Amino acid sequence: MIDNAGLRRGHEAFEHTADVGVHAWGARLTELFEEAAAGLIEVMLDPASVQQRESVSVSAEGLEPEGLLVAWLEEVLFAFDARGFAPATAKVTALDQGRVEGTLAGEPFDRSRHRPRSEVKAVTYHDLAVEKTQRGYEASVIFDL
Amino acid sequence: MEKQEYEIKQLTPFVWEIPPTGKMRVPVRIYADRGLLDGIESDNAVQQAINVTHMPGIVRASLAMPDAHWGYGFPIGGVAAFDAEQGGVVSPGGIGFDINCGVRLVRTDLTPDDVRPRVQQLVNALYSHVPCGVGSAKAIPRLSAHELRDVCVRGAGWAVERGFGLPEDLERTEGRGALPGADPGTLSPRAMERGAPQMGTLGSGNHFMELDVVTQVFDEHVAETFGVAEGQVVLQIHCGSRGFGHQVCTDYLKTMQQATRKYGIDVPDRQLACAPLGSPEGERYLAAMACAANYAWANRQTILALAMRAVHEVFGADREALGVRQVYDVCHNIAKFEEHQVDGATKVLCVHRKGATRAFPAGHPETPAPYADVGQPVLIPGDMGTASYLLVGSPRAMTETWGSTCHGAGRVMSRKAAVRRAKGRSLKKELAARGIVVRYEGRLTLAEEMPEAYKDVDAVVSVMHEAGITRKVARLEPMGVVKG
Repeated sequence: MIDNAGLRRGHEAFEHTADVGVHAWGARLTELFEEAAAGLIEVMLDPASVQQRESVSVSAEGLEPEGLLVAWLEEVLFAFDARGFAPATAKVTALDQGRVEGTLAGEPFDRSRHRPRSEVKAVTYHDLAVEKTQRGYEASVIFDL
Repeated sequence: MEKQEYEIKQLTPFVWEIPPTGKMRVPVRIYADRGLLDGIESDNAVQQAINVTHMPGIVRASLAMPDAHWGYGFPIGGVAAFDAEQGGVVSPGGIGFDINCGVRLVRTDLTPDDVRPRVQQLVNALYSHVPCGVGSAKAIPRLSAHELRDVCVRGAGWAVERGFGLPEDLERTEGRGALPGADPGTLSPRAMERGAPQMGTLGSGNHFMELDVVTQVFDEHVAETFGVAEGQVVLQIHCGSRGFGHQVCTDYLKTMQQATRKYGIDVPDRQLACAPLGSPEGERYLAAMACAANYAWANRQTILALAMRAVHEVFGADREALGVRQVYDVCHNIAKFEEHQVDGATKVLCVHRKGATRAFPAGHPETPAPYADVGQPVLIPGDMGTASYLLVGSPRAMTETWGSTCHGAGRVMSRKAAVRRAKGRSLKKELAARGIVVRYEGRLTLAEEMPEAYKDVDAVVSVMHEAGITRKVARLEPMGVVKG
């Protein structure tokens, strides 16, 4: 999904043999984090099949931008895989040195309505680097399927 | 990732070596034929195998199996052994996120004539008794924290005691389905939370349950010892430690990143994060890894019992009446302390197998008593469109590969490419045309697992056979598949 407002933020999935990756970008770091989460959500399920009836708060801590990004995405994965909460969107509410807070909008996972896609085992550090570019911030993250 | 130039030379028709240069402590040794080697070279797996040679205390070589492909840190299809006395390390990347992903095989007295008229019914029954797919949970009542800790320590034994399967299954499970040294005190609250609802579930991805027919027997005597014969229907269960194991690996990768810095270990890839064997971090990881491994064995034991309920439903007979007996259960992702011969001395090494299977010979203390004369069974799941194999370990495995062999076919095509390839095709119909019935969660999952996405399992298994590491015993072909 690409935001049409000047392509300032967006994400897209890419292939990687046994697994899948998401390339995300945003003018600000908070946007990068949100776009990466959106990419992960789309790997796990079809967000269009999920109603945003509830929200859960998530927070994560980590070193450097990379460690923090991985920890943030792990929260999204955990909410779904461990707690059965199907997220449709993710929003960052605070992002400070080493800590991120946000909310996931969605609802409890319902097999009969929701369209799950791939089971994600983990967020990996493979070829992961958060880079400052012309677009702002960019990163590619690979998920172990 | 930095790529380095390397020189590769052929030692034997099926063994290739990259001699150590620069920071490499030992050579890389790859088991492959020319065709498979091309595949391994083209996808970064060689570079990863080279990276592993940099790690402290690695003994003799960094090994790659014919089905090797790139993974996280270590390649998948990699084997490496470390000596604690030489500063050897333990590294979660050398085991994988899906700790004790593995396979269980049971034989039955059923024939294709018994099964074919009811295969759709059987596949549906399996699908309904064993939760599969993304987010699969709630196969059995949610485990309390106390029960989960019990699972962690007792593994498959926990399941048997709960009435899932029979005590005789444990004898025919690697390590009796319980790795010693498990300590639930090393588990995070997150891991405990993920483990509670997922016992008895298959999960998704490349996990499956499969009814196969034994179409070819290569070694009559060994097959008979294993209880397997041509024309028999067998059941395979392929899955691992679910979210529980994934969380353990995720948690300890963070610990290990700190440990790598603390102990001043120089690794070329942060995913090779590790700690010295015997260090507090190393010990804690191994104790947590054992919990996850035992969870997976309890899981496969439970799933077998649930699968037997499905079979009972369709045939109106229990496992004894149908001649159901476990052949073996092996793991593909694990670290184990084993005695091996190194330069004429017996040493205890920490053997990392990631996408590789233990393959012990006849007479080894860990080879189950009923199989003592022939060797340990090795289960090689192929992909759902072609074949799986039953092999047996050999003495040569002990001398060359730390008693290890390949684990399966290995992917060659990305999931997206597979889905593109599948456009306009009905995989379900193609498989049905070959007599294979499939039940699956999502159409995409099915397309991703298409046969062309995998390496040629016949070629992979043949390499290890020709190299004398594991011998072919039987070839299995699918009749019915349940995929998550």
